[in-house]
Amino acid sequence: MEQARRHIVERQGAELPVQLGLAQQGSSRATLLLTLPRVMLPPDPCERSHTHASSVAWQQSHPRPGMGRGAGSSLTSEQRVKRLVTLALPLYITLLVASVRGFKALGLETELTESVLKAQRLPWGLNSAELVTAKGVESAHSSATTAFSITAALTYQVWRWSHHPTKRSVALLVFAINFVAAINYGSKLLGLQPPLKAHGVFKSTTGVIVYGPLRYLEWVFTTSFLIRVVGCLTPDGPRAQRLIRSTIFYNVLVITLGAVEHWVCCAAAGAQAFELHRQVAVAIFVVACCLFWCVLVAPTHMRVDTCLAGPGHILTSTF
Amino acid sequence: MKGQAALYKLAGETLSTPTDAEGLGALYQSTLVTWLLFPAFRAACLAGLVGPCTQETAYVLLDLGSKMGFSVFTLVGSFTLSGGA
Repeated sequence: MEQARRHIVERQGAELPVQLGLAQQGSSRATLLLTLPRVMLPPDPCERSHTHASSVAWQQSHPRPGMGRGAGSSLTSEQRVKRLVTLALPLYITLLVASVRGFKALGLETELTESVLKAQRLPWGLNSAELVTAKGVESAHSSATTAFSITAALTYQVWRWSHHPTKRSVALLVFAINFVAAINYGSKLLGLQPPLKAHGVFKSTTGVIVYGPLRYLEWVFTTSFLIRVVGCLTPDGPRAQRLIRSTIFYNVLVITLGAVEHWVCCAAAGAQAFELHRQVAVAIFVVACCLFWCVLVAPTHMRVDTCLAGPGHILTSTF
Repeated sequence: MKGQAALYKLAGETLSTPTDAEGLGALYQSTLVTWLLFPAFRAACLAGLVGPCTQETAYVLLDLGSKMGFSVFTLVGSFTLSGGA
């Protein structure tokens, strides 16, 4: 009877008191934090059991200071990444389809023919310095679709066969980046994102056509994933989480400003209106560039406390 | 704290060896260059120096280069975190 009860306790993951006891006896804080999800969280049906067991074993044998779970968080970093990707990919596809249908409903699309491109010139009198033709653009889209598809397949396999949770998180995010990019370029290649004619005014008065601003939708997702990949390499703590969130927020803000600028150029409804729209677009572009510089390279004062850097390391960096 | 530079710096301090930190620094530099080229091409297009097709092709090539470089660098490059990851 006692043996059966012990067996049930072991099978149901009741090793929490054991781990708590170890932590109280002086084990590292990371060991305790990394062990908790195994006990408290329901099993993930999508995850292979041996992989999860390997991950937990790896975490237990290789504790990293402050790299477990954030304070007050109930999910591991890998689970947060998986939830993010699971939510973001369908959201991107939904937004892409809705945007394509919206452009069709507004009647903004045009056929990118050689005659259109031949007659094309820029609105303020300069000849367009086109170094490539429409066929060249299609070839570039085709190459990008192929490259991103292959990379997405490879990174998916890396995610499936990686054991360490950090490497699995990175592989999943890189897969999501390449998957979204492959969908974006694939839809362009299939003609779902034709160039816009901006109410036909560009074509009739100036001959300028513009490529659709749906690229910015892709950038919102892929750059956020990219920042999150770098975030996977940082210690998991409240300061790091704030830094990741603020970086993603300002990055999305810059891309949104770029999309607005692009849309203002598309929405000009006359030659006179175009000049006004161009000035507005340039003003938005300048603001977006300033913000972009601040987000990407501006000097930032950062203080990393002992919670992030481990005991005995107080790092104050100004760069 | 809102810069990517701070994020890369924080990640670089987590890596266990100086070589890995230098690799991450190189990744940041390449990301910086490629990302700054996007608005440069857009500005050139707004100024009339290049056309929309050239801008689109440049965007595709930059996008391809930056994402491929990032994917290869993060997956093939063996970052060693302080905990052995």
